[in-house]
Amino acid sequence: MQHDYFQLLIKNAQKGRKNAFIDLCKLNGKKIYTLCVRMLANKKISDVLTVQIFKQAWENIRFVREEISFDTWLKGIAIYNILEEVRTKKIKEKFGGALTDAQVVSTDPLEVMILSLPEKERIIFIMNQIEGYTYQEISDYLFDYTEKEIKFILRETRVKLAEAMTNEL
Amino acid sequence: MNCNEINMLIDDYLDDLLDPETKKEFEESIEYCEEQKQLLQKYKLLEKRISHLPLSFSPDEGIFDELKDNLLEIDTLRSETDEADKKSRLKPGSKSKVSIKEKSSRRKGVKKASTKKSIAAYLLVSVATTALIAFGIYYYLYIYNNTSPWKFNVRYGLVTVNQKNGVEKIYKDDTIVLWDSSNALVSIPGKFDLELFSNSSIQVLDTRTMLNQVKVLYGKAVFNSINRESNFSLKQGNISISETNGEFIYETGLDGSIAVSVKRGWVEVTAINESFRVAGDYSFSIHENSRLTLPVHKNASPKFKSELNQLNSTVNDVAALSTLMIETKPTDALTLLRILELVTPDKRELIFQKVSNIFQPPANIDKQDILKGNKRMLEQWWSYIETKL
Repeated sequence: MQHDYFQLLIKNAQKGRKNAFIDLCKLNGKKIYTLCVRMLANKKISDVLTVQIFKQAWENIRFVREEISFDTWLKGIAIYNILEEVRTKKIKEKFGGALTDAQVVSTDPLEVMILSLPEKERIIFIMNQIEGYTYQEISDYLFDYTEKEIKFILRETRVKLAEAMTNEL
Repeated sequence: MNCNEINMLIDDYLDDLLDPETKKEFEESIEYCEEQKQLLQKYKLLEKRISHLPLSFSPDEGIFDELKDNLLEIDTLRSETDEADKKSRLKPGSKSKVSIKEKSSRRKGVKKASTKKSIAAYLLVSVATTALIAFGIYYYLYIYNNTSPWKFNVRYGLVTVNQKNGVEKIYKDDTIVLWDSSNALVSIPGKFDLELFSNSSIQVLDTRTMLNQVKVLYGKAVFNSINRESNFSLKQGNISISETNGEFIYETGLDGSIAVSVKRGWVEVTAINESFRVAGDYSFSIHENSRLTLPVHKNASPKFKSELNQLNSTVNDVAALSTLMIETKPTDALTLLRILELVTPDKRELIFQKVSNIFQPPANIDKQDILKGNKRMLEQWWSYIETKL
């Protein structure tokens, strides 16, 4: 049923119906926004980027096909935009110094630990452990890093978080 | 396995990258390494916590209002561009000459009937001639020698056309390169979608309506037809692959070999001295010197595939052929039909019997013609089996 409803929204959005597209965005909003916040550890940048991701999705919605999951398609756009921001810092530079109050606050100890990781460690960890990308796929996105380096960074991060988790418990 | 080795493999174990034998050995050995055992437990605890991690952050409702405004802006920009395009295409005064003439003649109303007739005939002839010339020019430019471009859309990533960014239309002789993590779609008018994946490159050979062609330089591309009119082909050296009402994937491997797998419909493969069809769910490879392998079904057993490898080197190998017959499943029938076409006549009877046992040939199929290797007859039987699969 959920699947049918999704397909209906996608078809209507492809016909140019904005309300259907906005509904699709609302259904996926939490997923995309959480991904942005986790990877960028900043609320203001995530706000701007989430809108940018959905804008790009609207411009390309006609290319979504039934056999490709909309989630995966949208996540691909999101990951690309997030990593582009990490590389270029375009949005960050636009805000200048007005970002200090945009730090993310969470009550979940694991979330706090992930957010406090250094940027690259955090991104690699989230892509592999939470989003399920393989070493090869991560290396495709982060072309400065080889698969071996990614594996090494991931191992270090795992040890760090596993130790911290044990202390927490 | 000692504790150091356990330590080295612990990540691969968690990522499920170990082969079953190593995994078993790992699980047995870790019982004797207290430190690694504890670490694994911590890792598992972390994994469990991650799998229960909620979507902790919600966007403000204002984000969707902002998005709505942005969508309206995009639409306004689009319609302005369309309007500007329309205006630039309009030619003032081109239509009015005839109507002015008509109006003035009506106003005068004194000319003789014969003069009127001759003017009408003259106008009719000139309009018809102009239309004919215009159609000729249009046909030459846009149909016969179609210079109109294919629509090109970069979905994400970095894609360059002739080393330039931001290109939206592609023409004959253009070379498209997709860099890391990129994806692009080429819409070929009314016929095909061509989807290109990361680290791919194609060269457009022809954009004529009658002869659409590309050459994949490297990487992976999916060819997907929109309607039944197939007038598109992929050129690879002396081999051409034309697709009929379906979808196929073309991928170059690290060793330079090329794998073609048909997802829907069927493809026509044409090499220098031969041509054959490959059905949906079948795949084949192109190796160096344009050597083509036998088509194989995705559900073929490993043993069948291994015997097929042997036959790929020498198709008349009787031992491999016999084992292959034993391992044949109904879905492998079209592979056998292709082998029947290639083997020497004395071995055809054996293959004919095997395929007949799986799919009884219809009445119009003549056994003797098949045994003689009659191409038309083989194609008829092939089509019959393809519809049954």
